[in-house]
Amino acid sequence: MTVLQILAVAIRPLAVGGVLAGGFLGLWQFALGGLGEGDRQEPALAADPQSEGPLIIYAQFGPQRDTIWAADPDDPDNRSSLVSVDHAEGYGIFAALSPDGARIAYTVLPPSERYPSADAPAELWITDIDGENARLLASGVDLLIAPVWSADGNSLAVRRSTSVENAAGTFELLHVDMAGRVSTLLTASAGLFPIGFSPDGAGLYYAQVSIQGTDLGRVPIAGGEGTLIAHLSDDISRDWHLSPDGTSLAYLAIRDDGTGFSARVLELGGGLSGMADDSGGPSVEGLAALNDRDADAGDEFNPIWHPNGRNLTMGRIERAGPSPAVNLGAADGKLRALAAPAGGFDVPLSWSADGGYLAVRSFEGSSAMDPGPSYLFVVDSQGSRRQLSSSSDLTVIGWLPAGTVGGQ
Amino acid sequence: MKRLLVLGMVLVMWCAGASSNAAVSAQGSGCAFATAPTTYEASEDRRLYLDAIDLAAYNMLFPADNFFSVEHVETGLRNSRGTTQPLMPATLLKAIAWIESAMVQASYSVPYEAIGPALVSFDCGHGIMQVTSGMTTPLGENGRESPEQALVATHFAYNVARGAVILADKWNAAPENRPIAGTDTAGDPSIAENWYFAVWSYNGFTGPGANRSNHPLDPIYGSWPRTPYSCGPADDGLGHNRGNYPYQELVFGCASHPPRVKGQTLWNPLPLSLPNLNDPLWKGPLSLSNFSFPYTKMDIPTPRPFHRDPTARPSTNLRTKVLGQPFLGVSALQVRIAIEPERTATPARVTIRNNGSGVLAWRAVASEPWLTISEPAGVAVGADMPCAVGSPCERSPTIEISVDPKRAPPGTHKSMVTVESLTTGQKQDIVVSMVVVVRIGVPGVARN
Repeated sequence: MTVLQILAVAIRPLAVGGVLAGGFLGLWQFALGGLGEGDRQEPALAADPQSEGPLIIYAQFGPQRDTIWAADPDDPDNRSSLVSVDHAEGYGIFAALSPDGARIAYTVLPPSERYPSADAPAELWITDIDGENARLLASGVDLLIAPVWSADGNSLAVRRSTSVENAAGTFELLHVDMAGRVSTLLTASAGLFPIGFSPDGAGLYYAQVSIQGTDLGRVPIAGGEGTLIAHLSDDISRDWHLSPDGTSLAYLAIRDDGTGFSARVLELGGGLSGMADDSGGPSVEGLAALNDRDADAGDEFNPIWHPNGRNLTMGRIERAGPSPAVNLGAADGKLRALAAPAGGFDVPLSWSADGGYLAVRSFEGSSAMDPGPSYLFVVDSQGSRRQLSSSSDLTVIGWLPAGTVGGQ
Repeated sequence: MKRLLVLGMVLVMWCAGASSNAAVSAQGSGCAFATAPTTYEASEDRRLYLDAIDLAAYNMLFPADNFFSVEHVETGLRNSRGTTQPLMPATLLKAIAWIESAMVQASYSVPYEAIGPALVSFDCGHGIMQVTSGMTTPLGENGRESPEQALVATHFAYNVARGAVILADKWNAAPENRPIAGTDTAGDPSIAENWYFAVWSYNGFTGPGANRSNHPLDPIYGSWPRTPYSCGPADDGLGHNRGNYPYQELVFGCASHPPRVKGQTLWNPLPLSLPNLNDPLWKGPLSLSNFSFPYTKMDIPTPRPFHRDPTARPSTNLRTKVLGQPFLGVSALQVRIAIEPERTATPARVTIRNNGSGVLAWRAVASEPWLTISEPAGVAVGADMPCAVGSPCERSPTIEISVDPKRAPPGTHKSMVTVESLTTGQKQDIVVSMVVVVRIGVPGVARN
């Protein structure tokens, strides 16, 4: 199915010219700036509800075949199948959408793997968003580490690891171009996790997990040694997200008192020489409050960047009642709640590029240790919540900006 | 037990009995058998296997067999460890079996109620419980597989029993090599949640940063928090993609949310609790810095609320029903092999029968290295075991006994092939006469 066909079945006519970002961004800015911490009122609509919008791209797990869908966030039942990927029994794909929305890269255990396991060697594939031109880029990569796209969409970072008796193993961060040329960026005997390319494409940020804790490193793409540039945590940290401008890193770290995770922000300083040297160091103004909150704060989840690059959105367990995702404003460091679920709590997954929609995983339980069933929802600028599917086994891959799609 | 080894980050240890993760072909020389021996695959409802697991949980399958029985399980705290009866939660064993193999003994290509090659994974995991320990190289005489290896590969009940032994070994590895779960319940093995570390170890006691970590907080699991894993239907609102979960969460989730086969749930759900990682009582011991052999700082209280497995102790009649009463028979006690020196040999054929009931696991051993046997081990199935219509189900397999003409000594010889019922201990010696054939002149005319 071509993109045009996708568009034909997608409920709404798509925008030509991609005009939406400003309007939706303004809407959410209104929301972010107008609600105080603890407020529960939904943001008012400030844009034309009939405007065309982006499409959400997500993968639906099946025991032997995953399906990647494009859906209208305003009417999730109106969706189109983009790609179907056969895989080994029980182990789905781990996918990422290219920055321009034109291609999807994914790791997969091939269906020929008769005895699958999470550490079996996986394949790296790339396909056009319409399922055309699927091709194998590399073999022997780690299944569980989703590919990371470079900003220009011309290359990927993936991980390869091998077991070593009586040791943690050997880990490689690989750089793979669209022709399938593979080069090793970094090799280590501690766990490596690719985070993201620097905006100029010259470096790759990565996390290194060892018994000493979690460190942030950067390795030049053109060749050279990796350098650890900040100590993120004495324990496990996770859910690392570079800000859109590449100047800050948001992540989760285990609280010192062992009562769950808290979100943190690290200012990267724009270059290797200016790196902060610890996670408690100076942070983006306003976001600094994130690192200094009292230990009484609720358990927090997956801090992602708002497309405006200044605000953080994260999940947060409230003391009582449903727990919506919250926005942390860069300007004042205040938390503002988004549309709340009927019960349970939300974990934000991905903003649409125009800031008009937020995909969340909504858990029906009360805490990270009692999460219960969960489903994907899209929260829109009016505070409406729409469930993507009755299946729990969905993974958001990204968003197709309406302008991008319409221009195909 | 499946998969690998061990290790944590800096100091690690070899998980007793665990195998290396190096990929080895099931048909490769790296496993106990050069080619997978045949086995019997029972009915799709898994009733036979579930009954076998219930027996194994109470150590009632082969209590007198040192290799296939659990001597004891330990209990108590780190400095006051004692032993108790060899019991374990049956539901956990069932969940492990499902996660490991979907609870099948034969290769996935073999239909239910049929006979075919045993399930052997790339890392030499065998059968229902994917037993890897002791299955990576032949351990018998003359470079052959051992009787124990043959039983693990060919007979579901022995495979299940061995899986239970391995799980008990993982439990008993505490406190010397593993942490204890249940510091507030005296490490009581009747509490299913106290098997948390043992189940983790069944797959490999690997920690954060390892290339295949089972640590629950490891960032290799891409989403946090995680909706529980389920072996149940796709629309139950829970997770089904195995790549998102550490091994012990797969097993605990499967115990809590069992699979359905033909509309029937395979076992009663046992809603198991995981360690509360938001509580310092559990999170503290699981901190990164504590994952260091011998893991003395990782002891945890029992996850709450805790549960005891309600599976009742089976009756002794169930053992008879599961194992049957196999009785070995062979079609011939003497065979003759004609050999043309340095060229060819005409094999003799012998059919192995189970004149009793149940599944008879057999092994054939030659007295001479130049005697060859087409199948070194397999099963003969009693008439009481169902065979699906149209499925491969040779209840009485026929083996070919032959001679390697290049290795056979000159002249006429008598040698022996012993067919042994591994399940009953019966043996049948087959005398093999090697007759040298000298071809003269006209093809087809020979003079001995």
